Amino acid sequence: MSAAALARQSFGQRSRLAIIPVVLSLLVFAIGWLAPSPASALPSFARQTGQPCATCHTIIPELTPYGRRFKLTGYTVRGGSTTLPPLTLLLIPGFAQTAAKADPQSGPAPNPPGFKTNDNFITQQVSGYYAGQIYGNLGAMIQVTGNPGEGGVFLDGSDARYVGQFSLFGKDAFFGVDANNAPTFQDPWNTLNDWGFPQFSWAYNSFGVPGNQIDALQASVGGAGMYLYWNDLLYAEFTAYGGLNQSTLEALGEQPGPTPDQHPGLMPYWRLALEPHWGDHYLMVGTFGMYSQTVPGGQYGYGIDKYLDVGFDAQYQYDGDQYSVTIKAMDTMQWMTLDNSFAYGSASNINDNQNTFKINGTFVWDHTYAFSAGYFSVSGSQDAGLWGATSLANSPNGNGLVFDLSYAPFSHGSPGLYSTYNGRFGVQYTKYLELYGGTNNFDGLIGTPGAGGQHNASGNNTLWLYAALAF
Amino acid sequence: MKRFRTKMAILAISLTTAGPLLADDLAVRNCTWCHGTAAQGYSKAPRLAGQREDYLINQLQAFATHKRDEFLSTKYMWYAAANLDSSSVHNLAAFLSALPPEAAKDGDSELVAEGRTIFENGVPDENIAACQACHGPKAQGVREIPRLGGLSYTYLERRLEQWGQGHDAWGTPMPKVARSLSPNQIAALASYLSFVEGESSEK
Repeated sequence: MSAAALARQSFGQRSRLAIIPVVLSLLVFAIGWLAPSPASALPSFARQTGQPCATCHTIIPELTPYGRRFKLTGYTVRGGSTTLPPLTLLLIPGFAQTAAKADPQSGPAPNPPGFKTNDNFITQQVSGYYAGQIYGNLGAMIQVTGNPGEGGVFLDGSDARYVGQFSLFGKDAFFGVDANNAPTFQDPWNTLNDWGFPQFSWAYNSFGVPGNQIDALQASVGGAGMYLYWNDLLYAEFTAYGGLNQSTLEALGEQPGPTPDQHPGLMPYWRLALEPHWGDHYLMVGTFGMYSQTVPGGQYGYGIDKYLDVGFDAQYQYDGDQYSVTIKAMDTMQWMTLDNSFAYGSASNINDNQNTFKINGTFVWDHTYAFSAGYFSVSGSQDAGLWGATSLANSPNGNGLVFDLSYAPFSHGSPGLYSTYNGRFGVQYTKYLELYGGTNNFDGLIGTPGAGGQHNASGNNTLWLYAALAF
Repeated sequence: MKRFRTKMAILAISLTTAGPLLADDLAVRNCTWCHGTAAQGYSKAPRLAGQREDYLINQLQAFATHKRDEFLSTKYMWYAAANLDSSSVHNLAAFLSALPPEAAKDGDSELVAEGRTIFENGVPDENIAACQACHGPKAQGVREIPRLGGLSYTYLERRLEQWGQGHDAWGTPMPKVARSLSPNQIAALASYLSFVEGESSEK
């Protein structure tokens, strides 16, 4: 799940922003267009490094090799002339049309104010960032996302890093100490949950394929760990996460509700990746995993649900002078031992499993025009308690396709009076081939009052016109 | 949970008090970000370790003034050099030139013999001068003439092609030399040079 998706998940229940910031942002863009000047991805990174977005991004937010190195060096690289603090604002407005109308009360509950059953124009994310060097070898990407539906803000996917350099086996290496609140947020490749494709997508679909436990832990845990990047080749990381209690979550604006899930003990996350390169060609093969524990609703006394996620991923990237091609694949197996959920009847099996698979590719011309296509699939064991509410087959199985065409006009520098801003304008189509083990009437509710076409997989097919505007 | 928070607090305090927040290499990291952790080159970005100090100064000034105008310079280095003051340019050049260079050895080994012949003798029939006449017998460079030995195949090939395409016209005599080279000769030269070892102390 991408950072944007992360925000959407929390955000989707809460907000529909006023049109004012969108109009203002478009106005700023229009004003800026008048007078070209050099500059800007997260604009604070561009200001700090003095580099345009194209140095670090094939197209925002997908990273180039130099973008990955910037992240691994803890956001501390400089080179620009700015003395401003590294602050950035991100807006993601969009218009979405689904193939069938949503049920009046369907979707993430409660739907944002003013949400219609179809044809919605919604600014689904407004985030502020402190992103860049804090001091010396210490850097951070702290993301605070607005919650205008209910007021306040919450701490979205964020990390802070301390980096250092040393020699190991005769080769230079650097290490990082990282603290973050979202497993995989810290990863520099675009394959895993947080930064995988699609990095931007419509937040309010009524039905979609289920995520895995790493998705579920986003922004509800805290972790600290270390990574090593050796000889510009080998990346190894170990991070330990711990759950955050209700008061901490509330302090962070996460709105956990009266009975949030508890995550007892330390939960290890590991990552190993090898990235050889030949000229402008980069190959990464890696593995990652996490062991986590959950007590749903904090209801102790009947055991603990345990999750083991083990994944393998690969990325090939050609980063040429005029264009880039990035092909990514990821497969995560999840084994669940659901003692607590079984005892409470919310799972029918003690042992379940789930597999998540993604493969996608992006072609970008001159860091400006991008076309992406991807396939995603989730499959798992049948469990009436876990999936029965949405699946006649008691199954999490689903798969589909995503196509995305986008335009980022300012990758080589933004024009105007305020020179470091950036934008990506796109159209995205998501086609669901199967949801919850079925294609038509997958949950058996069609025919009941209020249940419409979105209970067919294809009824959730979504066309989304979007913009991602960063200042 | 309480123990976890305590550990986090200890970690945070340790980092902010024990570790040197300001490392000596921070300014250099602005270069090694792209040019490789040990400045031995990474992908498009050439090796800087062991490069001639005067050459580095000259090129950084050429980036800043936009004299050096091939595609990757305009894309990356114009920005990277834009905010370097004279003192930083000289300090970085002195530091990087003193680092021991490692040969990339990423060319086609079957073309090494042909490349060596061109480097040492030129191609008299085609009026192509011997490269070693300027770059030295070990391709070690001198003053503003760069060390070529051990640079990556990709970089050398790209530079020779770019000169032939008319970029960096100010860099005489390379535009004229490169225009005379065929693609096969460029591949041979770049292959040979990628295997040439050298020491930063070579004069």
